[in-house]
Amino acid sequence: MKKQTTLGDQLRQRGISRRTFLKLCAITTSAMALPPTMIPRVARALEKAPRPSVIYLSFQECTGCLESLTRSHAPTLENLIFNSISLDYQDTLQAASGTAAEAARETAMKQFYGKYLLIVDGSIPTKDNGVYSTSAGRTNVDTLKEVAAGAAAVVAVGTCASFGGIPYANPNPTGAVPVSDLIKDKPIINVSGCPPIPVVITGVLAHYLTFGEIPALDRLGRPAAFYGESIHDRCYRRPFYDQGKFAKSFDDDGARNGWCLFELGCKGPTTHNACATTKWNGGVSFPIESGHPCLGCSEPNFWDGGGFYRALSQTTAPVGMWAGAAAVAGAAGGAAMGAAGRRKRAAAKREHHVVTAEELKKKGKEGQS
Amino acid sequence: MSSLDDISVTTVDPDDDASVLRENVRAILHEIEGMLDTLLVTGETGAIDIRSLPMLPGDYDALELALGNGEVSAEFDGGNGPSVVSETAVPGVWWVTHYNDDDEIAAEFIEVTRIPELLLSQDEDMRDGLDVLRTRLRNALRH
Repeated sequence: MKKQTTLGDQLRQRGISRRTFLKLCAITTSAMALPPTMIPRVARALEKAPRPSVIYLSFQECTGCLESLTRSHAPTLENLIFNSISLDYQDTLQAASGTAAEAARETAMKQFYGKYLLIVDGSIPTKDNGVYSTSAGRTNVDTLKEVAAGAAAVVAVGTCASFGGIPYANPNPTGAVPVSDLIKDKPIINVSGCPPIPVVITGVLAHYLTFGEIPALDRLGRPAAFYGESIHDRCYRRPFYDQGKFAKSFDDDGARNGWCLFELGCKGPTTHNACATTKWNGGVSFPIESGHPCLGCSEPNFWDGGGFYRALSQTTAPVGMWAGAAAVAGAAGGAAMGAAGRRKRAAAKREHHVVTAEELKKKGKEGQS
Repeated sequence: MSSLDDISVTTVDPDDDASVLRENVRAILHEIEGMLDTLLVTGETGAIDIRSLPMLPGDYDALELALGNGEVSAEFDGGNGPSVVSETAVPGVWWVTHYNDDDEIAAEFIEVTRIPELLLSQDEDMRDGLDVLRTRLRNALRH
């Protein structure tokens, strides 16, 4: 059998010096949110890393996650990672189409059965036998089950794949469910966010490539390195919160001075993600730095959480409560998941407020007075 | 296309008690102090990933200012974007910035060490260089 090419071999073949390799390891370590003391370990692991096959399936989604991933501000790391993994199927990016594309997927599945990494983006509609999203004449449910069966692990990219996301929001017309509702016998890494931070997606792939195992996960199946702390705890505006300095509207002095956005509905305290440190657009900014409260997009049921501009302290159903419900369901697994899903849906329905144009006008006037 | 740098951004410093807001910088400086002390006593090196820290607008500049510029600065370019390695005004404390192909910062560290590893010649590269040198000498002999 032909010896598997490792990343180290590939780099040396391309004439990349050891120094450049060390630099890439430093960037990779930073992207994986590991401490710099881990750089030598990352170097040792990356040298021996095999080139895994990756199959990327897109289901009920808006392609925002893929947009985010491809805009991972190309630290040469990502270029290398993508030169170093074999992306064997991605229906938006691949050149092949139709039967040729499906054939590529089947070939990769056969060749690397039990070893390939499956990336899923989007929720899976289950209502009416899953007819609301099909590809190549097959429902997403069928495709997911077939491809997941031979995968080493599944990465659920985005809040739709992780927790159901927007399609799952009340009233969930397609009966959308997250990957974890359908796949019970494979390790699943939830990389939530709407979309997830580009470097977080590649960081998780880099972790798998580097160590050949899935990273430590939090109670919602998300990599602890990126989702371990709340936005609030890492927010540069936190000192204002501690001092009791809050923006009361989007155009008052508090907003202009960059005070805490808690009273404008910021979900930072109940949201776990890396936005506050990793930031967006290559580290330029993140929503709070741009003056907008956090929406909580990386948490379950963020869309039904009681209103983006309602302060957490006023919310009848705080986002954190949803997260707790999902965690309990996750622990119980199987049938409990379905029951919790129904409970959550019923609760979301109760909490759903219809806002009329008149009410908005009235609220606007109240805000001005 | 205009770049993000062209958008003028005004940072309003809150009028009172600005020192509270520089706590981030003070915390980092304390960490560096501890690392430098350890380096002198035990020889153990240390590093801080700047990107992993929550930074208030202005913190980054304040940190740069606090550490200052030292005697040594070097640039490395292995073909994947340059890296700039500079010793700060505090000997043993280095500021290492890795850029990517598009001149964006891909990673940034403060390293507390006698010399950052990136500046050391690596065995693999030296071996390759030795091969090239020997080949050249052999070819020179033939002429």
